[in-house]
Amino acid sequence: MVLRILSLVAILYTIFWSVRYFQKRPGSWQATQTWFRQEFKKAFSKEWKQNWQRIVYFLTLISIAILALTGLIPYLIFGVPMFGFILMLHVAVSPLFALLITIIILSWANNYQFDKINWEFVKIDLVKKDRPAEAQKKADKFYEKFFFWFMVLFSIMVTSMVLSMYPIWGTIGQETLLTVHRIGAVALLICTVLHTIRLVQTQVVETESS
Amino acid sequence: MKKVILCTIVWMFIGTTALWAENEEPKLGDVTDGSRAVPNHLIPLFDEEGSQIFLDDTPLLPFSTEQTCLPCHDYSKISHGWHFNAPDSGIHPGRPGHPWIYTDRVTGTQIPLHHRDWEGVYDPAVVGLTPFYFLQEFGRQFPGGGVGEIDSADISKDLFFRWQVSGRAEVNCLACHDVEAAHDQTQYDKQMRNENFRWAAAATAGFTTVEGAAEDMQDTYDIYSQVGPGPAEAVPPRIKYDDHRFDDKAQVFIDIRRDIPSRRCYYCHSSRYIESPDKEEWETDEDVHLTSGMNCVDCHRNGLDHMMIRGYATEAQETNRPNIASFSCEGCHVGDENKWPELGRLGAPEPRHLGIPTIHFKEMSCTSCHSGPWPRKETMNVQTSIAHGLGTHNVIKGDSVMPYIASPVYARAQNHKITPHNLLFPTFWGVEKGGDIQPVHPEELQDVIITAIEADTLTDSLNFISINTGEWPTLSQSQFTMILDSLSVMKDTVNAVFVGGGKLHRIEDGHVVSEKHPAAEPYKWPFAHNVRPAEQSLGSKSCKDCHGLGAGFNFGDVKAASPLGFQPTAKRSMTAYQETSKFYQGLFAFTFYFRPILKIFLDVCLILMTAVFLLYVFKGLDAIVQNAFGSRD
Repeated sequence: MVLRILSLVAILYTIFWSVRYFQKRPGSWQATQTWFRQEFKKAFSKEWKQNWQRIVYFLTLISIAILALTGLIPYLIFGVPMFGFILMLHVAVSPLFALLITIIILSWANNYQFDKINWEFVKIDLVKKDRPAEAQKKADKFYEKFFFWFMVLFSIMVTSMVLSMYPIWGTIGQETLLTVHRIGAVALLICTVLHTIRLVQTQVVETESS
Repeated sequence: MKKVILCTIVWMFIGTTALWAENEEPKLGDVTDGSRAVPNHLIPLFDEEGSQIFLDDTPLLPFSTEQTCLPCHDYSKISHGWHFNAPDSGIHPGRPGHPWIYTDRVTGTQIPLHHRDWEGVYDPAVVGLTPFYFLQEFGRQFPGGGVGEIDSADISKDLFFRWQVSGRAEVNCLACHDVEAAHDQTQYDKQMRNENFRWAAAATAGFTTVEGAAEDMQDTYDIYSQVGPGPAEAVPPRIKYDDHRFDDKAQVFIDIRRDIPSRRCYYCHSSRYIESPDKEEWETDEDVHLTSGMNCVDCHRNGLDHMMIRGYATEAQETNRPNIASFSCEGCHVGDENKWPELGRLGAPEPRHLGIPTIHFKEMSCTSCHSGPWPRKETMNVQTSIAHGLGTHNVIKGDSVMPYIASPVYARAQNHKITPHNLLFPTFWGVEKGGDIQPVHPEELQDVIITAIEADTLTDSLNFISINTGEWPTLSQSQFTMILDSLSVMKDTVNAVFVGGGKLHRIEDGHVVSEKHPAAEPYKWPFAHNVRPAEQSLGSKSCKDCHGLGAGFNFGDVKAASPLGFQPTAKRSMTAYQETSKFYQGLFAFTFYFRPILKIFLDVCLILMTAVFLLYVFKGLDAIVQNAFGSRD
């Protein structure tokens, strides 16, 4: 019950924070929508071979959305475990998610290493409330990386549910794995939202400046 | 003013009487001084009038369990115990239990009856089984008390004199507590059939012999004067005592125990699976608890009130007795970490349940995986002591004897968990009145059905053989029509119906119409024994024990047999009782064939993700260390 309430609060706070983020930056919401439309078209255009990373990314977002809807709504809203066809859809999408997130991690990890610029931001601008435009760019870039690595961590937590399929965990172990899975899932959802916002913001800014 | 004073006096009198009753000293045998030694029951015997029995009494009367036990035990409290309080509507009926099954082979009738208010059972009075006839019909496993002690005059004035001849069926304490090897419980059955209710309990003791039959005596027969017996050849009911067992104070030793051995319970609580591959007794095992040295009463305990613990998970809550919560499967094997530790009680091992997702414990009872026979593609027929008179004399024995009880049926129980059940499809002829079906007493129809059977000279012999061997006849459509027409004429109604095979059947415009009806729905009751060892539980081999495409747990068929030979035996999927669909379970089971691949695939993904994550964590650490302390170069 406590976990359910905390999860709901965390998700609601993320929504609230995201709305505030876009409110603070006039035009950013429209820019984000435009970016999604354009990138989605690019990804699923005829030149899909050049855009395979985009395809993977969008499919990952879709799979996370399906997993979150099927897994979190019964648990968070109704307080019941998944059942019936919802459970089957969840289990069917999970290997797709695992494959896609693994590809993303393998292909993006190198680019998401923290560098000196990030370190400078942490030292100088991290705790500032009103940052200049240049520092905000650094902030977006830092948080994009920051949330990426947390996405990786929480993806590992979520996928660790596979361990429950082995006859090595008793009832307490099973319950612990399920709890880890649930916490990881909520955290992954939040990190994905926050990472996506920063990613899009960085891309939009880069496009505008170029 | 006078009225006020009078009322006050009356209330004070009632109040002080109630106070006195509450403060009544417990009897000698109902309290313990702490000694666990078995008390010696060398005791005088008393007849139902409370007079001590001496060997030179004329006539010799049977000892009364009530009067004999009364000096040391609170009989009135005991007689409200679980085995005896079925007619008391004030008692919570608890989860459905084994019904009395009224069976008639000629008419193919099998109706679940009980005095408790369980959904799906009929009150015995519906088929004319007033207490007197109920005792005659079901006396063989009847524990006494209850309807056996209801004031006869209140129930049926017509039978008042028969009750005087037969006597009351008092609580039969000996049925459970007399552990003497010479105790013969089958005598109880014999005496109850002979209407010797007064003599039945005493007849089971190892030092008595009862002969004669009250049913042969006239209504005016007097047991004291022995005046007014029946026909000349009839023997009045009488008892002989083994005089060697009486000491010089006319006391008799009876081997009465509190720790009742399981063999005493088995007389009424045995079962036998017909199609089980290991049906020979020497090939079967007892419940794993018993084989490890326990007795039934180690878990099914009771206090003086004899409210025996039934042991199901929600019993404590339903009966408002929190102190019995630990006497369930979970109570001993799992415990409650928030309470005084009871885990491991009686040496109960804590289950590991390795690899079993916790959803199973929310959706299923412990008994689903651990109790009863291994599920098969089709349910088996189970015979029980109460339904088939196992262990009694003069009962037709055989594999195909009625009533037909299907088992194990994995159905949702009252607590919504999937639980193994025994299941009985009611089968009877009746009349529909305002949507309800009123069963017709089988005896009213027997002649009609025999006439119908005889009308078909091709099958009559086979049908009579079936009836004589304990089965129901197989009726053709013309015979069925003939019987329903006769029933319509007999009852002067157009709504004569037959309930069987899970449906209601009637004749409309010359055609047989079969339809669903609540009265045709089966009565099912959960069972918990025999418990198998953990190594033999469902899921011990693999998930496919239940989730395989052909697994009996989900895909077994429940037979709904009926005497209607012109209709195929109806079968219902097990999923119908689990509130799910065969399609869903099939699809779900199908995924289990890909589970090994899924596991390997997810393992690879998990390893890769973890490896990358750790790689960059170490890289990050490397960078921090280099920045902090400088590189080697």
